[in-house]
Amino acid sequence: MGEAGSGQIGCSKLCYVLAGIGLALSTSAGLFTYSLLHEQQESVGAAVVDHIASSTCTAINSTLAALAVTKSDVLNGEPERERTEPEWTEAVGVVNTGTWTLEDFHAAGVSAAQAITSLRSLPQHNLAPLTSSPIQTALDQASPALRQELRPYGCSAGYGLAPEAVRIVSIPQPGGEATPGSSGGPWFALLYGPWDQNGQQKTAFALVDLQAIALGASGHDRHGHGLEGLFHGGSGQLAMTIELSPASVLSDQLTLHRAMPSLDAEDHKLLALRIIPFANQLLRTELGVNHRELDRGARRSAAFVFLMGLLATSSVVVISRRTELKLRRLNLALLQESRTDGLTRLANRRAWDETLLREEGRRQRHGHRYGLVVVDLDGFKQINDAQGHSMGDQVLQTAAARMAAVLRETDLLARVGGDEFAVLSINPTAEGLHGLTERLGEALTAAGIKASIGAALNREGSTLEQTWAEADGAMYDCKSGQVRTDPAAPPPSCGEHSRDSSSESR
Amino acid sequence: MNSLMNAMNRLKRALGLPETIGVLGVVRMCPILVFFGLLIVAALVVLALQ
Repeated sequence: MGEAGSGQIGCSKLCYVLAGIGLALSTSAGLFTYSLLHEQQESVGAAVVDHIASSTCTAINSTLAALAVTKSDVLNGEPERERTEPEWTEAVGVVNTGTWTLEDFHAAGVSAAQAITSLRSLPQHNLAPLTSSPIQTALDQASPALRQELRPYGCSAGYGLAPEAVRIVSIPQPGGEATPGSSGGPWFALLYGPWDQNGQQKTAFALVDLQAIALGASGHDRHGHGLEGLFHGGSGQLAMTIELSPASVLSDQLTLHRAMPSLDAEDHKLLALRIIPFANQLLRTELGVNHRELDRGARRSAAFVFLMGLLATSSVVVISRRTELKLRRLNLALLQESRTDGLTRLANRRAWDETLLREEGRRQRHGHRYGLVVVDLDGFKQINDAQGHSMGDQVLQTAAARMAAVLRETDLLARVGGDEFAVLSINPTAEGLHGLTERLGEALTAAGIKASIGAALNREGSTLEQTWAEADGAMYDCKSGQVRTDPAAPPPSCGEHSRDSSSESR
Repeated sequence: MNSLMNAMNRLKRALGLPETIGVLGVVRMCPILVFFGLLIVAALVVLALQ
């Protein structure tokens, strides 16, 4: 059982190989999952940003169209055509800046009083006539090639409005109090004018919640749905960082530079050509995906896949290890069984021969002596014939038990033939071997078993075969009633008991 | 404490180890399983923190 010691219950090479393969597969699966989901999420995130930016552009154009229609209504005194309010426009109208009365007003969710309050809170110069038109100048000076470059912006300040007269002003929420120095919220006031009509200065305006427009245009948020709904796995997997913080007045290059200092002068010049493309560009620039948040789902999925791989690998390793331990125990039991006599549970001939060879090797190397005792049961065949094989088996078992009881721990008792036993005694003296023979004989006699016992002590220069033959010869001498007299080796090979036993009848 | 010891003994039995060895013995006998156990705990922590 020494092989089942603590050193043998560690992990085998197979365990390490399985663990390595499992770890490599788990890592690969985790990384693959991450890369796949990361790419997908980024792609969807970019699509959403693009969509929102495009929707914002469309919303601004529609708002401008509403402004143009409203102005036309006031100028002509009657609706030019059936109005269809853009649903994203919160309030459209024309204000008389002299009396602060509304000439025309269409609103959704914003009262006339709130609109007036918001318009009055704007810096006064935004409602005053423009003394110069830097944008118009820039447009006049633009080359056809430059105009061509502007086309991809996709938004145009058409609808019969002169581009130099359109302004976009960031305001707090309509009706709310303007906080000096605040950067403003996501609300915009789009202003057109003023123009003189019957001696009165009139300005068309649109109050717009651009964030609501952007999100509304993408079909989310206004009715309680978040952008997170676009993605699998519930909320929290995607967080869009949407910041709408345009400069207060987007009408000249200085303001553009303040709003977007990262752009160079050429870009400022390009953007200054039109207000709407700039607003769109500004929004597009400030719309962004929170990549850390966006990546969270991919990271979590990858960690989950990796964890599953680890669990599977651990299970395989544990099962493999347990199977291996079981096999090892079974092999050990089989090895033990192959060296044991089934009837007497003593060492069998195979174990005897192996031990004897080992001991002979030890003797040759270290000079240790050993003694051999051969025990042959007398009259065993007659017992089998007369009383049956079961009685014979019982005699063998009894003899084995009695002899084993008188041996030392270091002695080896084996059944080497049908009714023949042998004892290997390590490093005995002649007296010790004699005593052992005596004890064996007495034990067998006490059990009523007759046996012939021969013993031999290994001599200097004699081989294993010689010693074995001497012990065997001594046993046969004893059986035939002769007594050896050679004092050198065959010690007391045949005791009185054996002679007695051979003469007794069972 | 008792349930912890019971769980530990059950784990040792499942791994084919004698119940008399200590934690260091488990680490010495099954370093690969201990390594995997630590990896699993780390993956769980990462999952929980996400």
